[in-house]
Amino acid sequence: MKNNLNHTGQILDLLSFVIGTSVLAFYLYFGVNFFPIGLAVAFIISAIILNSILCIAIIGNTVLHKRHVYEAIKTYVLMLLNIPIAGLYLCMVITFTYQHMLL
Amino acid sequence: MENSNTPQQNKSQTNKLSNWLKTSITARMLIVGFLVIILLIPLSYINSLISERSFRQADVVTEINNKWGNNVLIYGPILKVPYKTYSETKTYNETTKTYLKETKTHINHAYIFPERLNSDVVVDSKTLKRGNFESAVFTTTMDFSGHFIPTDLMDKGINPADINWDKASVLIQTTNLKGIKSEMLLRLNSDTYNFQTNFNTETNSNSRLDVLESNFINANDLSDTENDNFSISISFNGTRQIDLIPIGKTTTMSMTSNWADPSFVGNYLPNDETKEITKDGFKADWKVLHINRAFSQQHLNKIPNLKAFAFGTKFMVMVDEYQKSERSAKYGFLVIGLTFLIFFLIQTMSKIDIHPFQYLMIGLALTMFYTLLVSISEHSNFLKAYLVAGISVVVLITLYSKSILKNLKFPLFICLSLTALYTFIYVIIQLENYALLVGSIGLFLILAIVMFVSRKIDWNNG
Repeated sequence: MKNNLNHTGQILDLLSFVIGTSVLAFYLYFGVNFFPIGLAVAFIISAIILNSILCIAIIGNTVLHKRHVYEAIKTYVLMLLNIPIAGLYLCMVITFTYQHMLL
Repeated sequence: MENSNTPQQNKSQTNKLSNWLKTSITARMLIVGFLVIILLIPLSYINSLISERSFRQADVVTEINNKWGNNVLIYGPILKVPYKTYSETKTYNETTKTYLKETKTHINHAYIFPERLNSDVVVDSKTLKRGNFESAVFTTTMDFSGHFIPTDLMDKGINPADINWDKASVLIQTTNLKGIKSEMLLRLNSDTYNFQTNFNTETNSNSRLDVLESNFINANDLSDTENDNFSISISFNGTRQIDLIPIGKTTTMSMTSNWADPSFVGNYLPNDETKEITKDGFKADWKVLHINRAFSQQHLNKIPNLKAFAFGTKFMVMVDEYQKSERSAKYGFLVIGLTFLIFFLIQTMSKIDIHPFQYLMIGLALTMFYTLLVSISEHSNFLKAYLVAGISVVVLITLYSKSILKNLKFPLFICLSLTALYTFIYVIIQLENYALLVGSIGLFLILAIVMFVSRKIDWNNG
């Protein structure tokens, strides 16, 4: 399979970050009416599934072939970095929505 | 699953992407667009901050108002007269084989409105401050005079002999018992009567009006003559609004105040010919006839809720600083987008490299404008706050862009553009009727300028 997994993984990380950040920004600025929450949830679920599949594939590929280890670690770190960012975004959404409910 | 690319291929792929990001206009546009989207996050927090401060202000104003006194609504004076009604019950007696008739007497009340009700209201208003917030409060003296007649209730099916005039009393309903400043006395011809509170769950549950009731009046004081036979003087501490329900067959109200921004509210407006509003205060007169409202002068058993017929004046501090800040923050997206567009056009035309971090700093400076605006407007008026915040941000961005662009021509252009943009936004938020027109023309001009400036850019370069 002529596929650069690491490269695809990095692009997927970047895309997940960009789309996730845009979704958060639109949700916070325009409110739930502009950006349906269902769409955001669908994005989060698909991002988790795709990233997990790619992550497993990269780990498997690296363990089996022991090639491009440095690149794989870089991609893996980038993928892991998205987790605390997603956590932070979730906190922001919860606190923001809670504040608006109080006002 | 094998990664079959050689390290050279990988490196070239990465370089290609990196090169595309650095040189392509499309990539730069995407990055700048993404940064604009990112800056929506602090903007939404600023909007939230403005709402929070605005709610805090409303809380403080409510707290001040509750302590000083509520709004004043007067419903009265009403003559309360007890009358008797009878009911008969027949009971069959088995032993005597006859019907036993039993007559029960019930005491009900008739509520009679005055033939004439004149009110002379003098309002002395001032503002009370707590922290950064202020509320309009007032002290008012309301002098009521008028004429009650010993109404015949025959048309309501009540026999005059069943009316107990000796136990008649006068009622006044109001929203602001707490704010009454002095003892209330009813003068009915030559006699004077005190008022007492008369809490009644039935009357208080619906209308939320508290009832003041006089002692039993002397029925001889009620006469058929045309002269005023009653007068009541009430002093209130109140806030927000003064209203009167026009229960007199002819109701007049004359209001004088030192408040310069009255808002006449309710079902009836003051006489336009005699109304005077100056910077030192206002004077207004109302006259409502019984044919102007759809209720009668007598009511049996309960006092109807006639709040819908009230009229009066609103005394409000026109504090719309937060509203203006909120409206200007709504244009934040436009300001950031247009400023980034200016930088992007300069970058594209002059080939000067501007890093995304520098865009981000400029964007954050633009969002800081709104926090400066809100915080300064709490201590000053909106125009001053807008000027201070605007000048600070324009100077900061001009100086920063001078260090980025390494010349004076472009920073000066940016300074002028930002000044024009902030002036444009200020004009829009000040205008009410022409906001859409001015906004549309302004945006059209901006679009024309952008099209003119960008006409020579080679977009296919990226």
